[in-house]
Amino acid sequence: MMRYRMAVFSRALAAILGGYALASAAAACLAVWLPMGRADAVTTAQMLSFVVYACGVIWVFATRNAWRAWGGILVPTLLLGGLFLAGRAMGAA
Amino acid sequence: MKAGKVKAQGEEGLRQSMSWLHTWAGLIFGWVLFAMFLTGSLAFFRPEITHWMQPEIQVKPAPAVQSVEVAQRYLAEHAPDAKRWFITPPSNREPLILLLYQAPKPKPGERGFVRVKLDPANGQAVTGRETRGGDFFYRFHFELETAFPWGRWLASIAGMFMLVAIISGIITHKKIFTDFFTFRPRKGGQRAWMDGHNVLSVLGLPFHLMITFSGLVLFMVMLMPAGIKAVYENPRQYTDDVFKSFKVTPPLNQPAPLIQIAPLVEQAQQQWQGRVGRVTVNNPGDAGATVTLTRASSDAVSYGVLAPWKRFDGVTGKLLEGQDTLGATASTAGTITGLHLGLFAEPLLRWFYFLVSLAGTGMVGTGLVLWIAKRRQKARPQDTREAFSLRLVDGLNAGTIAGVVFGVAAFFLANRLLPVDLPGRQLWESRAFFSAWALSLVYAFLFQHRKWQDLLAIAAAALALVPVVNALTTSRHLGVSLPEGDWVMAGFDLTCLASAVLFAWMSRKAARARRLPAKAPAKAPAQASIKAPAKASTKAAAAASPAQAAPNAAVYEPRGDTP
Amino acid sequence: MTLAAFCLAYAGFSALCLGMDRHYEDLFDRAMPRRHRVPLRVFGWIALALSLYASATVWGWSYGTVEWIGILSIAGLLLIWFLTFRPRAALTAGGVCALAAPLLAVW
Repeated sequence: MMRYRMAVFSRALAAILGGYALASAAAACLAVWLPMGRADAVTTAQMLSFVVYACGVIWVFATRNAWRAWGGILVPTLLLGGLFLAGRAMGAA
Repeated sequence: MKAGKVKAQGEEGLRQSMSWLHTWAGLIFGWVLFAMFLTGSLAFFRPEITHWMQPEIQVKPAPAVQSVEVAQRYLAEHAPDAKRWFITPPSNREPLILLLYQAPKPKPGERGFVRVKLDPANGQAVTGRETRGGDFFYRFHFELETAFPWGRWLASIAGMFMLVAIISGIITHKKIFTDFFTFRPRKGGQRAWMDGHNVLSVLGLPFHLMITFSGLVLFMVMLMPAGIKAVYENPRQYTDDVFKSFKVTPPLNQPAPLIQIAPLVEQAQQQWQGRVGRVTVNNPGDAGATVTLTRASSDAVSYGVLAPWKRFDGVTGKLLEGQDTLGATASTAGTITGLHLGLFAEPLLRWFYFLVSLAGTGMVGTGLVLWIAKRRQKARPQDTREAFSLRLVDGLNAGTIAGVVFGVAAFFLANRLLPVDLPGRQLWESRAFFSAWALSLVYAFLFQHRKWQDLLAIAAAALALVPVVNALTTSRHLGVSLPEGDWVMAGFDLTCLASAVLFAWMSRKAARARRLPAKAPAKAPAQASIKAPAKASTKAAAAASPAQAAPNAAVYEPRGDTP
Repeated sequence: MTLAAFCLAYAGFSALCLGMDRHYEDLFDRAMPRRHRVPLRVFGWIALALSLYASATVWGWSYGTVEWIGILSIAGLLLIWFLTFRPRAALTAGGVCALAAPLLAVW
């Protein structure tokens, strides 16, 4: 029972906090990379980030176990975060 | 249920895990969401409700050009030193001229903004009884009457849970097409509630998805700062970029007379072939004054938050800058948020919005009751007491589903019963809402076995009393409003009556279910009707908005609500 | 014309509903013959599409689409409500709406 509850708690954390991190990373990445004016890019990025958040949550609960849940959230978050940083550095250069 | 234990990634596994997710995402914030949906539904009739709550104000609208002239005269006289003036000319929903100005040096403890309502016919300020009117419901539904910014955050989190609940619900509803038209109330118990919940959810799905997603988008600056911080230094820069019409132009600190605004309004309306929705004057009386005209939100779907605008020099009247059409992205965001606000909707569509939104309220309500129904069905007959969780949820269900409705009625009753000149009466009106809700919750936990039939009956009685008390305390009751064709007042009273009938019926069903033994078929009331008051249309009870509550407990479990 | 749009929506949903085995059997007390299914469903979808078109002629495409979604939701909920308690009447009303729609459109 405890293991089950830990698994649920873990997934909940991945979904709520991890999902938000994923959405934020997506928003930041899109805001930098979308080929539009700054304001438009941010607007679009933010609207899409909610979709990303929802998809992230669904993934966390649809996938086989809590490890995959976290993996599926953290890996894209790091990727998107990395792309965002790269994009910002390139923009500044 | 088995989210953590899903073995294979087979379809059954996905449906099961989504079912689990749907249940919990829906339950955790279910009561908050119910209140948000109900008050949000009422918010579609915000000005109409305010009018009913200030019956002593009876004003006819006037065209924008005329109204702006009247407003400018008033403001020049009463607020010549204000830093900003905001004028909202009358519309077909709001006949008054709404003024807002920023007092230059507010006394400590006083707010800097002053609101005034003008009668367009004579330019005089009108006063009615102090009330928050429809604004109470509008604000509650996204701020939950909780301090800034916590209320909005809570509402947004609930909204995000709602979005997840909707998506997981779609994934898990495997018979979404085959069961599209299926509603079997006679089967009773869990099946009936499930059918009702499904019908309300699926038929209203475009609306529910739209309203939930767009609600989040409306707060996206607050909710998702990462996107902004990625390319801007702070959110203010972003909002300045997007909402250019709100720019606060600086003063030059030299006096100069303000140009007559009315001709500018006429010019803009001609050019746009539309209406001016708001006039903003920055630094009136200063050489650096500017006049910004914003197009009415009601002119198009996408104008809800961001509408075309023109900025003129406040002294010379020269056009400085403006946007007659919004770019593609702004229009998209504008449409999404505009659909949520529904400001573009004219009466028929507005009623559709209201009814389908009530269906959404019913969706949340039936979902909450379904949670109980499913578990009661599984409960073992030999248990002498129901599980704590069941009693807790059932109590919260009754206390909220009936309680919030009772609260709405109490709010309107307080409006009529409190003395018109009582200071702080609007605070007492709000307190009436919350007290009624709180009392319902207390009652629900004290009287476990009769809570549904009693609370629903109380809600029904309170709703029915509203038009009665209206008749006793004002002269704008149904006897007057119907013959006159005053559909705001009449529609409001009629909707209260229709809702009262609905809740009375639900109360009777609950009472009957209590008396019947376990096998009796339950007529789950996923019927159509209107819950709370609003206004303007003859179709009173016609709507197909399934309702909430009134579980027929006895049907699907041995004890039911019986002692 | 808005009334026509509403009738078309109701008629369309009724047809789609009848095109399902379980509801056809409810109404006619016999299994649905194969040859009825496709025409019923095709008619249903066409009626819904025409409903959108009718709404657009009155309100324009952007406003009309939103109005149409509202019409669909209400018509659907009404149909389901009637269907539950008076299936014959509900579906007959669908037929009546189908006939009334063109009349309302030109009136």
